[in-house]
Amino acid sequence: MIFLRDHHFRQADSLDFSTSWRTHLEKCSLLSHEGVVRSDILNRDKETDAFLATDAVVFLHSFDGANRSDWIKWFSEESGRFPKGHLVIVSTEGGIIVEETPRIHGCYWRPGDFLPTSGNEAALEFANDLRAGVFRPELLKPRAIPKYVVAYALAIHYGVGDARLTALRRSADQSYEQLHSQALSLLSTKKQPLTYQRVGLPKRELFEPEAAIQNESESVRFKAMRNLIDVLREDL
Amino acid sequence: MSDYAETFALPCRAASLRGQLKHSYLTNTICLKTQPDRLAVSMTSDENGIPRHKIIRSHIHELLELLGSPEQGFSPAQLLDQLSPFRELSVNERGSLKEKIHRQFAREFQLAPRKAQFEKTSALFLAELDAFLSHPLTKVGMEKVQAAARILIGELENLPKGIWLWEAVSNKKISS
Repeated sequence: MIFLRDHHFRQADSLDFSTSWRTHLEKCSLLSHEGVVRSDILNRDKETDAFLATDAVVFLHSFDGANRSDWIKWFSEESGRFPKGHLVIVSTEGGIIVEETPRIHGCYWRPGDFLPTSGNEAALEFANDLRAGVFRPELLKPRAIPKYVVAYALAIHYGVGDARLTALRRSADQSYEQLHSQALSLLSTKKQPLTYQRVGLPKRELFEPEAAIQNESESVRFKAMRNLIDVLREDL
Repeated sequence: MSDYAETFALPCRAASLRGQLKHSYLTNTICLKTQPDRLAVSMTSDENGIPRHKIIRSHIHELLELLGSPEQGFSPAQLLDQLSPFRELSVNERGSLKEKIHRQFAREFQLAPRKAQFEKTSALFLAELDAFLSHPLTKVGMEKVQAAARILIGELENLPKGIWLWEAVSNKKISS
């Protein structure tokens, strides 16, 4: 696995390079033994076969949109000078911004998720299987918040609903189960008690997703969707 | 990509600047430096021909400008252009809704006091940085810059990491 991050590791900085990023990575036993950390700046002429073999998995956690675009474009090119592995965009902006392709994926995992003590079972399973030579992109599970749910919740919160609200609500209802299952899955990995109080939903609406969307009350439906969106966006 | 699985894109320039300033610059290139001469080298070394301290200054000014922007700031008004359900609205209709959302956002987000606070904190930081770079390099000067940087980091931590939707219910405040 390769982790890319903008850390300004260059020139005289290397004399005093002790960022929290590097320190944090070194605490991750998995990474200190098998991972590589480097700058997020793509240098097309210098990327080597060893760096980007077809089985490489590159986690890109960049704050620079231009660098991110460079990597996505490069991985999207069919005929490159070097073979390519998989690019995983780590999103910290409250949403995943990639369209999934066979070689480009999205996730929210940070290095700490790979610590044995992280409690992120999916991340640990992903790393263990990768070590055994098996790449399992289905475990990455990006926090994909359905656009109709966001649109519906925005419409209610900001009072922009009109005759179109009914259609918007119908589309949001169709996507609600996806939102619900993602949020519950995330909550269950955090080793915190999954309670309806914690999510701020009435008990029935939390554990029976259909109860939330079948509730006639617009406020209950809105509250359910808004709170689960908040769960998916928290700690990013 | 199927409609069901479609994710919503939230490119947010203000959030990118926030992340770069907090992690890449204030933390990595300032707070973690241990000697005044190394902090000076870090601030004067160039990135694409521009001294780093000028890039930091430019990022701070851009973020201040963007804080109140309905297009590239944290305002959810920009989602009316990004989310396809809203793109079905006419341009005029969308424009007036964007104004409405942005006004409400400015109120709920407490945009004006936040901006004033960020302006004040960043001005203090930049003044300390200027003083450090224009005087003989001292440990005291470095510590003043780092203290001001840490306060600014605190301000950045109070900003959202992406487009702001609403005041989230804090799960921590809810007893379980």
